[in-house]
Amino acid sequence: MKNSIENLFQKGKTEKPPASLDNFILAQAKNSCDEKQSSASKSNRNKWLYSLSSAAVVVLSFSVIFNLQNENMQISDQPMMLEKPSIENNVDKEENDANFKRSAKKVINDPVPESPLVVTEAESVEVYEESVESQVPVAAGLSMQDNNRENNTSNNDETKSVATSQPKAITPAPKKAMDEASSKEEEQAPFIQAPKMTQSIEREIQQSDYSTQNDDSENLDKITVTGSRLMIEPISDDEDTFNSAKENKKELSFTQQLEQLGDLIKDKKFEEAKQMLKQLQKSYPYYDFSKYKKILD
Amino acid sequence: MTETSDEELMLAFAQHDQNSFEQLYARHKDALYRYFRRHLSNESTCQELYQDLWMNIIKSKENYKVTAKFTTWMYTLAHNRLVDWYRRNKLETKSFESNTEESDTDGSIDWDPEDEFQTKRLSKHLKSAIEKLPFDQREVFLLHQEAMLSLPQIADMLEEGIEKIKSRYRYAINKLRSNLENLR
Repeated sequence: MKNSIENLFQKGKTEKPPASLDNFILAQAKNSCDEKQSSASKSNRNKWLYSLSSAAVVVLSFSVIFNLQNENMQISDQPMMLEKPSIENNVDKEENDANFKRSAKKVINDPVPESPLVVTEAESVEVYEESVESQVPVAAGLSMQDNNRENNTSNNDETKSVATSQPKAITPAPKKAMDEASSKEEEQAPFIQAPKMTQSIEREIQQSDYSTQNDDSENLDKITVTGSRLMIEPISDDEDTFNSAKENKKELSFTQQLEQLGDLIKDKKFEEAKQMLKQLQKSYPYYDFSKYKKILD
Repeated sequence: MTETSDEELMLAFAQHDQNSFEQLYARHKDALYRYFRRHLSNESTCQELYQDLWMNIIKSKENYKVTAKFTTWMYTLAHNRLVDWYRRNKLETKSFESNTEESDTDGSIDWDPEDEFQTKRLSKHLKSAIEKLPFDQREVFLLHQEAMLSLPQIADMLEEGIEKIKSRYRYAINKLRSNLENLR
């Protein structure tokens, strides 16, 4: 019987790989599948993490920008909010007074605006040269002399336009004196009451020459600047002019008081000078008043 | 019910399907092992190369593309691995081909398939005869009889001419027949 070699070869196919080798190969294949699945899940998780973190960054950045914008808006609103309580409470009195003095000086120095400045003289209104001059700091020796005050009483019940009125009401102070006074004034403690209204400026002007003890109500004027209108009104009678004068006396700066003391000595008013020196010594115990003491002794 | 093709199983294994690989492995493990076993007399070397080949298949699963039959691709890898091993061990893979034994090509021998004792004895001699074949002829014979590849497929796989492959196969059959006839 003849059969091919191929048939004989197929009959002899009995060999098989060992079972351990089979198990090893199958285990390797399984591991590769598990690793790939875990890496796939990791890559998916990484994708989620990346997208979540990027979304969080975007949200945070937007919130930061939004907060910054809000802060900027609040900062832009703050001046209005801060200005009011500072004026009302007189917390920073010096600063407010300095601002007021600057604005008052501007009112004095500025040329007359196109719209007429109206000086209203109410019932007992009297416009004095000094009332304007007194806006210049009332530094002793530098202030405008108020010798002509008595002659400057004007007619009552009249409203005069400054543009049309004669220069009798306002006589400009010498420029040099004005500059010196303003520079000194800025260094010294304020003596003018700060305004309470933001859109108008009120000020009491009192004659600084308290040595004359001239505390008539005539000397107390109220200037109100509303828009382009300058209103000068007398302080009403019911206001305590004496107290206000006393306050103004207290508000005089140290250098002004020294200058007044010097003036008293010059005028040979030694008793008053001594009293003032005593007060000064009480107020400023660390200052050397020996020069004045020697003169008075 | 149609059986899932090797290519589909390999693609499924590339998608991390462990069962597909088990099916694929069960189909081809014996033939591949015998392929190596017929080429290599040393069993441990056979197991080493066999394991390396399957590891290579597992690693390259994601790069697998259906450009040919899975068996063609797998035995190409096996052939390359074997040639590499031969070169490392400085063994000759090319044989001198002569036409002296090309007279009888039918390859038939006298043996009774029902006689198990004779079949086992002849089979054992056949295996030893195969080991004595030159590498080229043995490779063609094993690829054709073990991997069940057609001669044209073998020609494509080895990038040789079809006539050359046919000639190698005839040489292999004649040598095996002559060896078996010498037993008698």
